[in-house]
Amino acid sequence: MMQTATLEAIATVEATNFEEIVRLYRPRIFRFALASLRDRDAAENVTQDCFLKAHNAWPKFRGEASLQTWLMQIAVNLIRDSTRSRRLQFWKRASQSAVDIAEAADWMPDLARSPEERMAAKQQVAAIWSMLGALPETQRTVFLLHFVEEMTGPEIEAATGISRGAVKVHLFRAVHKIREKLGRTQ
Amino acid sequence: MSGHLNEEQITNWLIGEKINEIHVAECERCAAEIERAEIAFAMFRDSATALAECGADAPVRTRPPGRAPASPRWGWPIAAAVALIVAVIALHQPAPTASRGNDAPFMQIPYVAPPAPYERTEILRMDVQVAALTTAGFDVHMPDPGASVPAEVLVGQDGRPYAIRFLPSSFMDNNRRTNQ
Repeated sequence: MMQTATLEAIATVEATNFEEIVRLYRPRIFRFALASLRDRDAAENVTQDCFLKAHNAWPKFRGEASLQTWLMQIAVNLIRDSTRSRRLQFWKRASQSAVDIAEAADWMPDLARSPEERMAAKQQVAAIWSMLGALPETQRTVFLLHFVEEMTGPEIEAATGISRGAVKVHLFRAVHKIREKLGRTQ
Repeated sequence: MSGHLNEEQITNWLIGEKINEIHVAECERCAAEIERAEIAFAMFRDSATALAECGADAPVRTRPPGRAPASPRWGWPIAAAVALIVAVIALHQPAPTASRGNDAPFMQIPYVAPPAPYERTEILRMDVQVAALTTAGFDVHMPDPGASVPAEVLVGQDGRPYAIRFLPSSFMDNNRRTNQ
């Protein structure tokens, strides 16, 4: 189960060492990077770079935002750079590590469901993965931060540099499009 | 309140703007609609978590480079856009002065959705291969498909080309002379 950093843990971490920060937050940063980029190698690189940048900037971290928001801010910027770079360079070599969206839906906890329910759930999750790839980058980022990373509006605002009102607009559009797609799969 | 929540209200509810709470509490249909979407999003979150946790065992694309895309309906337009992107990568050079002196309109690249109103775009000046233009859906009549033509390409913030306008050869020649 992915660890969730509690306020208590953060306080402890801030008092101890950077390795602990990596241990606590790496799964979350990697999950966000993987869902954003849908490429395991690229997500690994972004995650590594994120913690490298964080480590270098650690003495300057003043705690104005939470640690998670600060790390997500770094990750969002790295993913933005990576997406742009990949769009321009992707076809120089076809990525061997890209997550196959059709299969990504298989990665769901095996809850007690009937085969029919499981198939319907898989179709819905696959539809969301598929639609996510078609969303503009900002909508995708805001959607993931809200629904996967469970960040609040102010936290998303801090992590992305997008105003609260714009976050709401992007989120609304993303959800609206995904619901349309879900409607077609039902 | 009369009737049910409309699409906009349901979407607003899902993003945290919970108005009409009394109606949702009493209306099975609206509550079910919201719950269905919330469950789908929760399952997606579980999927993203599980995918990230599964490390090296995660599904990776096994399709070899160059194999035809799975969807024939979109295969050709995607390939066309890709071809144009390749041409952009290979030949692009930033426009020193975006579009000064050229009043020709931009032409939308076929099968590519226009940029969103809030998207930041830039204009890149480059030589674009005729073959790439043909592949992208433009009707180009030139004897040598290997030739290239000077153009300005409107590129989105994610590097995707949206529109193109052609330049007289003298534009590029002048720029090259200026740059040298």
